[in-house]
Amino acid sequence: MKFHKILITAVIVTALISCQQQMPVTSEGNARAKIVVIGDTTVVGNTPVYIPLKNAKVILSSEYGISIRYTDSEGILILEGIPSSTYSISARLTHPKYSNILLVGSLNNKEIISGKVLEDTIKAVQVANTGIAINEIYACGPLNNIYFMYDLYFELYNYSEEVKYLDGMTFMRFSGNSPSDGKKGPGADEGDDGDIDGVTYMFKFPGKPGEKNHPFYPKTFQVLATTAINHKKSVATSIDLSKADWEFYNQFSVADFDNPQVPNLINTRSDRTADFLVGLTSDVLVLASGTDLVWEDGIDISSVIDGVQYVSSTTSRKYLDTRVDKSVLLGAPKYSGKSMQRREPGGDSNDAMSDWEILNAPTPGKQK
Amino acid sequence: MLRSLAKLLLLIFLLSNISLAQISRVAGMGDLKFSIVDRDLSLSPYDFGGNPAWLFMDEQESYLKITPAYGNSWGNYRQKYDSEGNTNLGSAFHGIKTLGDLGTFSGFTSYNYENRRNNYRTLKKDTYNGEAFHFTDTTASDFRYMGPKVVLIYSWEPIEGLYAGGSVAYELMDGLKEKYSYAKTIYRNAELQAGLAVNFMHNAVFGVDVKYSDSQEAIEAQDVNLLDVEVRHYRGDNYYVGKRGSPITSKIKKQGFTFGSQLFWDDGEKLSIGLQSNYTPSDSRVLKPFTTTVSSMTTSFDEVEDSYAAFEFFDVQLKTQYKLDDDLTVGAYAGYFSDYSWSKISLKELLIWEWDIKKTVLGLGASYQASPSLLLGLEYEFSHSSVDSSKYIDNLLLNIVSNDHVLRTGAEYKLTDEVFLRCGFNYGAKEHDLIYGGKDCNSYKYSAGIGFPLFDLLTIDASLQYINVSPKKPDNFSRSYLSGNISLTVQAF
Repeated sequence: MKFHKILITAVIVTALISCQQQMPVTSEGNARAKIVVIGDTTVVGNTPVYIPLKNAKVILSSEYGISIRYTDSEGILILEGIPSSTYSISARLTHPKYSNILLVGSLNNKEIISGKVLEDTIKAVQVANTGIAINEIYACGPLNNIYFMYDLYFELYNYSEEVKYLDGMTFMRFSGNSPSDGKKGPGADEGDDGDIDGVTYMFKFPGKPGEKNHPFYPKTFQVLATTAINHKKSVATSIDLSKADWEFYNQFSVADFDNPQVPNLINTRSDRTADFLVGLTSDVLVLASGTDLVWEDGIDISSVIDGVQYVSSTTSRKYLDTRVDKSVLLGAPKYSGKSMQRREPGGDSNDAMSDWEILNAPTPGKQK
Repeated sequence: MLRSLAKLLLLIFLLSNISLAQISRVAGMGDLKFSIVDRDLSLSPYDFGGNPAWLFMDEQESYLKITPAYGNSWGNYRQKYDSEGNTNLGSAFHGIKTLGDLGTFSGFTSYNYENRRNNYRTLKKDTYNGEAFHFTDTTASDFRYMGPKVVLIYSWEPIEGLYAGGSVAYELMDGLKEKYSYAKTIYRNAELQAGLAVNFMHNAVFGVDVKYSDSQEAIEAQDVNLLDVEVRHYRGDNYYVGKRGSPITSKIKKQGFTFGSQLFWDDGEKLSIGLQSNYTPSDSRVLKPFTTTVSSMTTSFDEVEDSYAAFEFFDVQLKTQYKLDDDLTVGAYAGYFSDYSWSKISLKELLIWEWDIKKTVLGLGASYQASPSLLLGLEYEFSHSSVDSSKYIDNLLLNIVSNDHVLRTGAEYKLTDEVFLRCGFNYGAKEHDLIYGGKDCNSYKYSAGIGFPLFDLLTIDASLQYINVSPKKPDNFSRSYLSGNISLTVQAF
């Protein structure tokens, strides 16, 4: 009798131990979303005129990666059978009449969950269709414990269908115009005079705007390295930038290394004698056409090709003018070896929060 | 001679691999299952039901069996994440020591080596085991696993007519992908089993046993070249979460219980019946390091359950043998298997795959002592399987019914008093191949074996098997398997 009790107890205990989790009541695969994309096509006047954007490119990004769809003839995209996730949805279409205008809009952090229906509207606004975007920023430094961070680079992407020319373009860091001095902050339009202020570094591609000596072919990348050498020789976890397309070279510095195999962007500010270094976890970077080189009074917004502000914390303030970008990118932790990249090559809806993602490792010259 | 034997044993030790229940004799005779009388294929609770309590009665003599084995497979009929072929080498030592009234002890140890040639992407050891989760990188390369396994069983008779037994098993393997991501795997599996068997009505035995198993597979891909290699956690077949960096880790933890019962009856003359049933609930969890970037200064790190799969397996099997006369034995087999599973994404509490497989098997066969030197066996087995699968995340619903047939033949020829030659042939026809996905699939198995004594106390049994499987749809696909083993049995131990 005693034996049987032990046996029964043992069976019950083991049965309890093996208790499995409960099967979920909701199954995956039943998510549905209806996205309407409309765009402001107004060219003259201040009253926006929205029309449905037919055949607009819609980029869905989530933990499952990127998926590209197109709206139908009524500007509607029906999503069915996609996995449940938090999506950032951006839409873009070249203006129906003016090819130099891009209509872009986005929705951020939209939960599309199985068993539920999401209905939302993307209102696209006009941005300049420059064809070139800052595509990747690697600035946080590799995994190391010696404070090594000199392997930074910036990647450009030509998302247009035509050859662009880099002649005379400028790449800038904005860290002046400080709020501690009672100003709006780096990249903001101080004085509301149509330019952005706070240029700290301005490096320039060779030549002048309009010249055609430095082609940038469609659907290709250009890597701009601060120091174009193989950094793996210094830190094993770093990267090889000896084959970068461009190198920042400060001709006013006595110590800046110059790789003769790599063409240079040179410094336009003689008062700055350091190499083109940026904040590991936060900064404002701008690519401009180079038609406005007078940095002291700010850079004309009309000359800006692309700009982004990355920050170290979700509570950090945004400074960069909203006409350049309307949100901020939460940057990679310092010395993590991580990189910031647009989810889609050149995918620029002027909304950094939805356009960018953090990569576990840099990918110079290519997309993840 | 002793030196040569020692070299032979050393070679065997270095080159072998095999499981506990390696049965060389029937392996050479076409794997006859229920029509043949064989000491390792009886209907007892130990041989048929795996209950360690009956070891005491099943094994009455001490011996040591050394079994090196070799296996190889190749061919283009395979699943997406399968390798182009597997090479298996291993060596097993299995000793039985009878201790009289103190009981019986069984010790088994093996060392196994497996090379998966040009393994396609998957980093999981068992890719197709019913979970909706794959763990892959983006490259193909050789993947090798190697490691030891130990099984210890002890059985005794605490009270007259009541038998108790227990076993403990431990397996450890380390795996390495030899290129690109250089993924490393540490796999360990531990099993504990306890059983009871009671002899009643003189010729009947009833047994129960419970087994607990716990395994963990830790996968780590760590190399600076991971800048170019992406590791993907698949949920279903199409959607994955991609990761780059170094290192990338993942853990798969499994645990389960098996509750088994056996009923064995033997009239001592002509009829023996074995009935066994098992119920196995188990689960599997994928654990991933979870990193949250709170700010550039702080990063939180934890290990969370990413995915979960539950399994429920039930089977009941009946085997019977009846000696019509001294030369003719007929056997019958019936089995019912139910295998059910569901998988979910834990963080979202969403069901992503549910499948249910039911299988019923019926078999009839006979073995006939055609002459004092020649034993012949013939078996036919019919099975009916139904698969109901709903892979919700991929919007893939599947319902398949398959009626399958297997014909087994085998023969043993007594060349001299102690030398036996064996051969066998199997033909199988499957309406649907549930593993590889082909239709109207034919399989052919050819086997041969030999058994002879080397010295007074040393006997050798060797077997070789070749299998070819090919479907009619799609055509021009086939897969072949070649395996062989040699069992050296030392009768005194």
